[in-house]
Amino acid sequence: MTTEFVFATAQYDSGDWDSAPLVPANIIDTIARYTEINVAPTGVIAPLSDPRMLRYPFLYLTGHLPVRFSDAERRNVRQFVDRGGLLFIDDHNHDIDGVFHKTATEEIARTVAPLAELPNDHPLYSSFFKFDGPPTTSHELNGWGDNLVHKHLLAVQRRGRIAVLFSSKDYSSEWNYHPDSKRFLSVDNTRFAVNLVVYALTA
Amino acid sequence: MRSLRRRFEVGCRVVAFALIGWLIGTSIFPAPRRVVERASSSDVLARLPSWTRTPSSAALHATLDAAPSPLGVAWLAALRHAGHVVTWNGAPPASIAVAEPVIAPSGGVRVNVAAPANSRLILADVAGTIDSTRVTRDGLGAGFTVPLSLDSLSLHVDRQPLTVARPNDVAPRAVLVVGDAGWEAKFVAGALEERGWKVVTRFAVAPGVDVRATEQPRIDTASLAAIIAIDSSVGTLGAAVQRFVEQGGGLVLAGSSAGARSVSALAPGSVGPRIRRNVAATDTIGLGTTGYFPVAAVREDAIALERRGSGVTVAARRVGTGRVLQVGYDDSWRWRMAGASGSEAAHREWWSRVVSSVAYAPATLEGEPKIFDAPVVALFGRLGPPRPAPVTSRGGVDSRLLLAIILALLLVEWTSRRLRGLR
Amino acid sequence: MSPFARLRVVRLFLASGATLRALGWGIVAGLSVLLAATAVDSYLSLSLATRHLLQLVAFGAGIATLAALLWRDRRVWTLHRVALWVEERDPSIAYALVTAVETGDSTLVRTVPKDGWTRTARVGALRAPLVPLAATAITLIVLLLLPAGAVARIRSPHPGDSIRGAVRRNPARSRLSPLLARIEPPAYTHTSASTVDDPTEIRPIAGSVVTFSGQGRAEGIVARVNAESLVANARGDQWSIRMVVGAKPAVVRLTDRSFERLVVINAVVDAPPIVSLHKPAKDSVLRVATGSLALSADATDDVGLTSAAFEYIISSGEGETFKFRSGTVGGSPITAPGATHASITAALPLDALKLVPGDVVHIRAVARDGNTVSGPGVGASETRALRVARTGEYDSLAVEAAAPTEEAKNVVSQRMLIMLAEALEKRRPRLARDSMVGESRTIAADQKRLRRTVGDVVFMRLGGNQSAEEHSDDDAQARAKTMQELLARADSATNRSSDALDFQAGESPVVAVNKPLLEAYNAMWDASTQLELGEPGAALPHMRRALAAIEKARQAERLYLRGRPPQVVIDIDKARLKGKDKGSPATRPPLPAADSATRSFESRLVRAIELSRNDAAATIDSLTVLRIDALADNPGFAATLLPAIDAMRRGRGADATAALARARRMLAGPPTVRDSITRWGGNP
Repeated sequence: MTTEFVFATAQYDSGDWDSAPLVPANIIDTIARYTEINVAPTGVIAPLSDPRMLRYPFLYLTGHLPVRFSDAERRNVRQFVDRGGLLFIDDHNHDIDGVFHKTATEEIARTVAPLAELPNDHPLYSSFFKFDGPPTTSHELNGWGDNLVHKHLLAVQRRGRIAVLFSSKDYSSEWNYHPDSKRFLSVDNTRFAVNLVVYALTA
Repeated sequence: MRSLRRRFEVGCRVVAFALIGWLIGTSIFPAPRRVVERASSSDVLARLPSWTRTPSSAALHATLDAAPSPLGVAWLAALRHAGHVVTWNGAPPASIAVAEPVIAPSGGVRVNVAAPANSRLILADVAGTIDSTRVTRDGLGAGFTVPLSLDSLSLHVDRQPLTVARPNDVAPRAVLVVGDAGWEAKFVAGALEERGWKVVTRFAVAPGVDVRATEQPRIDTASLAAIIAIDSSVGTLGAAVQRFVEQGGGLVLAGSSAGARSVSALAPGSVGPRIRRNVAATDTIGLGTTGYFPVAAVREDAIALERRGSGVTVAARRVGTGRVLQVGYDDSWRWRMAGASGSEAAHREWWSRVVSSVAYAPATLEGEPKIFDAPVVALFGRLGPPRPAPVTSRGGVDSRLLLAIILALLLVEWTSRRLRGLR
Repeated sequence: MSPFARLRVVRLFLASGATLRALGWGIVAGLSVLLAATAVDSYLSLSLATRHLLQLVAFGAGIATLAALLWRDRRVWTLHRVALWVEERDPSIAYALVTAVETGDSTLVRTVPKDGWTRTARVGALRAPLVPLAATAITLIVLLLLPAGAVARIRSPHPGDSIRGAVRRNPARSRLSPLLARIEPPAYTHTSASTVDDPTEIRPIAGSVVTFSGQGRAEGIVARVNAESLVANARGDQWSIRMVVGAKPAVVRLTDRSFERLVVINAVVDAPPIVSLHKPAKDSVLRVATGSLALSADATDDVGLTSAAFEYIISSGEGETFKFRSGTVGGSPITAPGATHASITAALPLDALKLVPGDVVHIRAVARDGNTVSGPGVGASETRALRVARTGEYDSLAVEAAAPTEEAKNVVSQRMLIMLAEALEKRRPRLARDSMVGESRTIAADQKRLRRTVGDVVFMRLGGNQSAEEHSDDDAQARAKTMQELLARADSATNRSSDALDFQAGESPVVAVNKPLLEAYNAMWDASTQLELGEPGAALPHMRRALAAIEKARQAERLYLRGRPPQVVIDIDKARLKGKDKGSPATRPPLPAADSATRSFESRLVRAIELSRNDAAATIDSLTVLRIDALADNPGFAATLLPAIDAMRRGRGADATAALARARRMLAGPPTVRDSITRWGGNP
């Protein structure tokens, strides 16, 4: 086992957990570009039903389909949050009226606590780069999903730090491309991921 | 010619008057009588008031298997000063107890007791018994760290009672956690904050970019109690660390941080190659399960506090008035996250104790309660070493007997004279 | 009548008299105990349990007296003793009767008086119960003279009567004792109200209405709960205070002048139902979605269920496009009041759901309770997923991770090029012509590269061999010819001609499907021409057309395979610090202590222990309040305080000390002991 930061994608039984397969590599690349954080070159998949998911204090969870935790998944997620982990959930449908949003928020409320709006001056938005709030993605208004710009992220906080972060902004689509394509971008749209990871590693 | 009878009568009178003279003489010039009063540990205090009223000719001897209380020792010393012969013998266990505050936000008291090998120690306070232990054969004594106690603490070393006051709590100053941004730095800082420590962080994220706490205090004992170095980035603090430690500050060198140039001279040892352990998929992770950086080449003035297999995992050393602890674990966060039930609290508690063991403590102020007790030392100091009991001298003849003899002799003499007349 | 017969009659009379006398004295004994108990209760207000006990004692005393007297007079049933009794009263018999009884010879009795000794016996039998009868009458009169309420408390004690009894109390005494607590649970629980006499702790359901009442005037009696103060209301010669129980435990502090009394309200929160799904037992994959699926589940609740049903969500689609439908089946309200268990079954008709290959059905059972206080509690079971297999899924031997198709990759790339071109067009007014053309040509080069890639796909499918487009100059002409031919066919394929395509034998009509890709290829060609000329604005419509065409091609031919996503390994060293921007993190705020509540509990426990040396009553109150405050944060510690409180109430000092020591260990942790001293005094 090493002491690197390892990007872990959460695998859950009920849905398409792997709908954004290029996000891990993209974020790993981003972390390496802007920081000196010791990051593993590839991501891992952490099944939520396996207690070994506790070895990865940062977990990324996404999908389109309903999220329904099994008892084992619920137990592990609860322990994960109690011990100081950060679970980042992104709705790949970006639809607050859709099944992913409804079922995932219900599961989080049942497992941990109800989600609440995260104020846009939270330290997350200034943990590395400065943002006035969650950066808008090019997918929020693409005609699919709820076609809304979501002004806030939702969170469950424990003892002053974010334990569960929920996004309806579809960062999964926004970041789901090969890192080599970054050269085409005038502004790197993955910079917010740096904030996420730095916040997770320092808060 | 006097008859025999007459001689007898005269003899009775002479003896009677001689005895009267003896009685008068002894009452004017009494002969010294040696009486020895004795008591044991269990009743010496109760006997002292009556001893105080005995004449100073009486010798007072105590057989002690435990030193009396300070009151008792002072009283005996006062009796000796008043002219009594005061002696004692016995074998009270030589013991001393010292209480000091635990330097941690949660407070607590550490009681160290020097006591003979194999003696039984029981620690209690007004709320009841706290704990007990037996001193090992090679041990010099024992130690108790009590998280919560009331008032004074009483200790029994076998039958010897000792009492120490509970020292005042000391609120520790802030601690500085320095390291590269990573899980170990995050969870060490988090654990200390959760335990109530005031934590100042300095996490390196990129060249020239650190995540820091709101205030960055100066590196001195007025602002900080300890510095916790997670990795070699402690080198950025430069020579300030050495100054800080020499002034009394505490330094914890975790992982491979002891290899940083600015602190390597302070470390209890050098950093050995990391020992890696194979962790099976089903293993529960504990402290050190995944390996550690062993403390190699432990210095002569350093102490190895913890070993694991053939390696030293924790070593300590005093530098100037400060303390340095080298801890070989670099991923204790895995224990917290993936350990057994209760590992989160155990991780928090462990790190708090590590920091507390080196944290700077300001000097004790005047007016502190009495935090040490050495009753046997006080006994020796006031009454001297043990001696055998003095011998009891024979007492004189009872004066009532003498009076009876005198009266009898005079009666015989008078009767004989009267009867002589009747014949 | 023979002498023996007459003797038997006498015996009957005598036995009846003795029995009546014994019965009378038994009744007197029982009534006396009741009388004494009533007298004591009127001054001391005995507890309900004591009064029940006294009832038993009174009954027992009566029975014991009856039995004792019957035993004492048992000889009245023997003829011999009866004969002696007769002989005592008629000496003329001269022991002939006794001898006759002993020998069994009735002829020994020569003379028998006319009345046969029966009159004497009758008189004796009537006289015997007179005294006990008189005593019973006196006792009853005394009881009747006492206040009815006072007697009723002893005669028929029941919960709630502690404050009844008309005996006047000293006004200077506390009006907080005796105390009654009436608990009315919320209506949805379908449980009746209950009464607790002299409560120290009650456990009502959250939302219950609790009414405290006592004897005396209401003025000056106040109840404090958390920060709220409630004033007592008068009710006849009694006072009462009414409050609604919240969800958290609380301590009610009742005060009457200088008197105080604490009552702990340990609210029981209505937990949501627990639901277990039995059928289907596990996730499964169906080849064909027909028939009906049997569903069964169990639900239990601590108070009462109101409904239970099965919910399903159907997800259709794949990749980025999904549609969802949801519904319930087997739902039924549970009408039996207070039903704490329900089993539900249903059948889910798969035909009616119109499932298609690739659909996923998530099924779970949901139950609701009737909690009207904090909203109905909802419990859900685990979810089972039922997937309809895709066509050909069972034909494949292995599902391997597929890299994104060229079309998928190209979508991303084309979109990027559009964004670059748009950005360049926006900057046009500020740029010099040379820079403009240079940057435009850079985009053109990427567009060309992309076009080549699309061309490889398109022409591979058309001609079956790799496209040779622009590979070298030497054979460029030859290849171009070939390509031109192919392009011509491609042109005609992209709905510019209605001529039928001339396919060689065996050639699959892939061209028809890839019309969009060809269209994209052409559009890219036009776009790169404009970009080469330094006209990104003119290129944009062609680029967008190419994007739309690629999208269409992507949707027409979905190649989405589920499996392990492709592993992209990042070259960390190459990427390290290549980012243009530099971060400037804000300061890290400190985090709060996790055990601040524990510190507070510790200091309060220390104060309570110090207080226990002087004032046991105040210590009990302090520990009671501490226990309630600790219930939420540290239930283990709260549990250890209860034995200490009980021991102190019973006056068992040693037990209380031991219990407090355990509480201290539970709260602050056990001490650390080392059986030796080392050179390093501050061991971690």
